[in-house]
Amino acid sequence: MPLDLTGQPLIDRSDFQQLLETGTFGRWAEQAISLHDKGYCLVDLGSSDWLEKIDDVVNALQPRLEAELKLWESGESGPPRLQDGWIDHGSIRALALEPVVLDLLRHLYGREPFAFQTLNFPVGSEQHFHSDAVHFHSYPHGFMCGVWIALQDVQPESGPLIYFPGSHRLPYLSARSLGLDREAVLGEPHPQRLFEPSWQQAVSEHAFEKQQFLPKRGELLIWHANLLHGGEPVQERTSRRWSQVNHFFFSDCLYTTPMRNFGAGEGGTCLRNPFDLAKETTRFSEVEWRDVNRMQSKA
Amino acid sequence: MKKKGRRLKRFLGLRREAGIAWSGGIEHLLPGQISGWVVAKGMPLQEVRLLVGPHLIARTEINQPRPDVCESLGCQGTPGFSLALPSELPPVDWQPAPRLLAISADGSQQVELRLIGHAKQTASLLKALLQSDLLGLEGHVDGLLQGALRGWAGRRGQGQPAHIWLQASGQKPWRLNCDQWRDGLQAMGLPEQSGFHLDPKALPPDWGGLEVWCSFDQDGQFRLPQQERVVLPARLAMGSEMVHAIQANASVTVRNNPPTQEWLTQVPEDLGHHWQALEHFRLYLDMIEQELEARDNSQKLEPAPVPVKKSSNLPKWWPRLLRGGR
Repeated sequence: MPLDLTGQPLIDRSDFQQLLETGTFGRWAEQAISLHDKGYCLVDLGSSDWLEKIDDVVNALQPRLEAELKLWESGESGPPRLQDGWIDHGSIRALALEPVVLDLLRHLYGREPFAFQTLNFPVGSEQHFHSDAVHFHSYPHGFMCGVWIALQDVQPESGPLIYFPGSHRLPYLSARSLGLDREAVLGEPHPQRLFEPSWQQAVSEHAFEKQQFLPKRGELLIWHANLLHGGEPVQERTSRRWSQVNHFFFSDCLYTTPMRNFGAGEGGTCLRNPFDLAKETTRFSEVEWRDVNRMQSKA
Repeated sequence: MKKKGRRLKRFLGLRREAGIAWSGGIEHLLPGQISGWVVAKGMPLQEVRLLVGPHLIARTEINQPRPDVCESLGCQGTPGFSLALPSELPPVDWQPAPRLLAISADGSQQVELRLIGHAKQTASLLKALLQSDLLGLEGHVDGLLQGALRGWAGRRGQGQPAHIWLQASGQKPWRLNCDQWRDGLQAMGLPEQSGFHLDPKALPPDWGGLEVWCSFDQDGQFRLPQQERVVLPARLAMGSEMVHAIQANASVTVRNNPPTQEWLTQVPEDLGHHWQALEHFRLYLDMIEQELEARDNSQKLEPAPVPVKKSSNLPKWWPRLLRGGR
């Protein structure tokens, strides 16, 4: 598969203004400007059909996460989450494959998007702010994004989503770029911690302003692969903050986990074969994936 | 004769390929960028592409002014290029050698660019560079300033300080850590702690009087750009102290010096005026010196003559420069 490593998402291109003027982004021009300038954009689908789909997810997950929520409320565990709940719940899959969102991403990035992961949170995640691009990224860079959906109105005490507009312009980080030791990364249960000092320093140096997202049920926030975002501490453990995050890659790329990318002598690049929710299969077929691995071994 | 002519043409970067006459090639092969120039007769070349097998690694337009090239070849346009290299590459099959191609606007013509003066080494050096951990490093040697060798090197988004190598003919490379604070780097997206400065006194005495340069790699294949030759003081201890003493009161602003040609074409108009004013001042001092000398000589020979006011083209405010403070 010939790779074009010079490719860039349309919203990241240096000729963005020209693309805007020639109508490349269609009805999504406002979102394109926001994603380009600030690293995120807001979408309100607003239809009753959409809100019904949202309620379906909450109704499906409430009984499933009940026990974990009790542990959380009593302080015996961290905030619960459900990864890849789409496997068991069609309602989650429906939100991830919402055609309007796919249309928007196709226009903003210039390639075909595919959802590869869902996360559902009944409460605030309390995650330290981070860039998704250390967890999953692409060659060429930038072809990844997150779509955060409010499954209920978010209250300030529930640990809202936070983000730092403009931080998407920071350089992309990897274990290699930070000079992290392979053993240290592999031995750390939460390797993201090793990146956090760099993000804290960047926020302080660039004076990025933290913003809270207090959306109404059904509103979406789409973040750039490199936008720093996280969750505020939860003030009231009985409060709920039902949400769903869909992670997207785009076509014609190689996919990687930068927090496990090291120099050539330390194991090299960690490539991944993501799952395509729509096709319900891995992105690369067995034969294609063997070719990718062969290419990697020759490298 | 024909063979010699071909060799000369190759050395000068002149060759004919794919049916079009062209000249040019790669001038600088650095971990962060590849730069050079290319001119083709009849078919303008528009873009430079770096390929490894079928994979397109980087591309850029041929659009940088190179008055030196245009003047020597009698052509017009902007034949220069500067191709930024990514700091990280995915694993690709390196079996086909990397190639740098200059391509015409319609894609019908292409020529393979090679290092000017080292054509045969192009593929191996490109491969070594693209496979190395140096990829994406940028840097510059500012020169010997305030008694120390100064410059910077780093990579965008890199947490750990970079290190480079000081080189001199016949000497073992000397490792330099780039972890000093350096103004202006943050604006370039580099860590501010990417500067280096080396007091030449820290080097062994036999480095004294040698010309030095810096490279990204220990073998010295990939040199950091520098504007001027740097020669260490002959006697390191005394030399560096002298340099320091001379420059102690000088206000030296360390800048990221671009290549000379670029600088000359971009020099602001007001700096040109300053330059001219300094030249006028130098002429004025010469004139005073000559006048004093003439006066001394004439005093020895005859009584002082009536001073004759010399006519001068210099501005009227020049003499005020020599008066004391207000």
